[in-house]
Amino acid sequence: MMFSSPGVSKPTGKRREQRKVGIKSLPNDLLMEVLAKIASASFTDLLNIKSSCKDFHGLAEDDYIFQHVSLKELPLVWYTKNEVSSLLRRCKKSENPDALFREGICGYFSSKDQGLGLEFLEKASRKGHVEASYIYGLILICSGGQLKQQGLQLLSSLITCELRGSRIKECRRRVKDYVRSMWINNNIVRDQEPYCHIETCNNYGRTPNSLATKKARWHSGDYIEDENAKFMCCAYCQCDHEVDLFCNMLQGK
Amino acid sequence: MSSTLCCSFAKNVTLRSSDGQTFEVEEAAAQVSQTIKRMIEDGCTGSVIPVPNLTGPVLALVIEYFKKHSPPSDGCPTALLEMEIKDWDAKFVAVDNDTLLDLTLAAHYLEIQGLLDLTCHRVADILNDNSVEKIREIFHIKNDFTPEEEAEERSKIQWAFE
Repeated sequence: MMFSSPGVSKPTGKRREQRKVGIKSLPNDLLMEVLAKIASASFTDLLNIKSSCKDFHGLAEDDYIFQHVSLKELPLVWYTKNEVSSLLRRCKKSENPDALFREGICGYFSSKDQGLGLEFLEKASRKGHVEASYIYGLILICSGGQLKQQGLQLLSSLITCELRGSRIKECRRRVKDYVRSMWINNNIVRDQEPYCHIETCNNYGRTPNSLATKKARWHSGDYIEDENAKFMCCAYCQCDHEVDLFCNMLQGK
Repeated sequence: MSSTLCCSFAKNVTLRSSDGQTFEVEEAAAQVSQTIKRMIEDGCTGSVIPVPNLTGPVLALVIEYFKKHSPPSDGCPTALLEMEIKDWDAKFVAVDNDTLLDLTLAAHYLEIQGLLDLTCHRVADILNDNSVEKIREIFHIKNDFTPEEEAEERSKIQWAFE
């Protein structure tokens, strides 16, 4: 027990000497925590800290760091660099959510094995990856039946909790950048039924046709700034809007 | 009248730093630290709880953190309160690097997860967006690579900066 022997503490006089040790005065598990936080903000920052001394070089090789490293700086499709593919392999092995997301989105929209792609997206979503949850939610909604309900719940809670304010635009932008850099072989298509389910919502009970007129105005861009306030009423209406935006984007509109 | 009433409800404990300074703090606030919480629950505390890993000035700061983060007496924290605490936290760790490292170690010893997250984040923020040389300078990291090793390392990571 750390408190059992009060005599152990260093006298204040020695503090100045200890100062020179700097960040290395932290135990390795804390240094690892700091490195993981650096890594999750930026991959290149991790490389910089890794090159600063041998201790950090060693710590940065741990699986824990590969689980946390952000891959946002790397374009989705990057065939030529060996360094990148070995980094991605290592991240995937450590179940890095960003690596799972990349694998998932490529798998689902480009390859023949959509099921495997969906599995990766689901795994990344369970690990709290925002863009993966966004895409996974959209796919579930368009799958219909029970999955549609599950997707609506996932996406609406994501929109209310994680994607407030400008963060939703950031999420759409990243998803769009990825999708645009791939060869799309598999589209997703929505059904025309509005998702609105709250009786007090302005859109409740609208037919697909009357809602289509309203949607045309949402998408015209005039209402982008205050769309949430004026035209998006309930959380499911917001999902409706996101599905439209995503499907249009997939079709290159 | 109201102040005596308040004191009769709030039980205090005394914490003693490595250099012998003592601080009185509400028991509920001190239990933000899992280590102190366990000691109180196990009943292994006398009238004074020794905190030998922390010097007086650091313990004083940690106690400020305790007070801000002690569970509110009137139930759930509101969103407004949470925002205010977040602002306070950001100011709390905007200190010189030595104090920041002291606080990180203190959070580790005393098992204060919130403070540990906060300080590790702050250390990471300070290091992000800096060159290797600047990183070494900020936290007094000695370059223990040979020039050959360093050159090799640089060539290995060059691709990421192109």
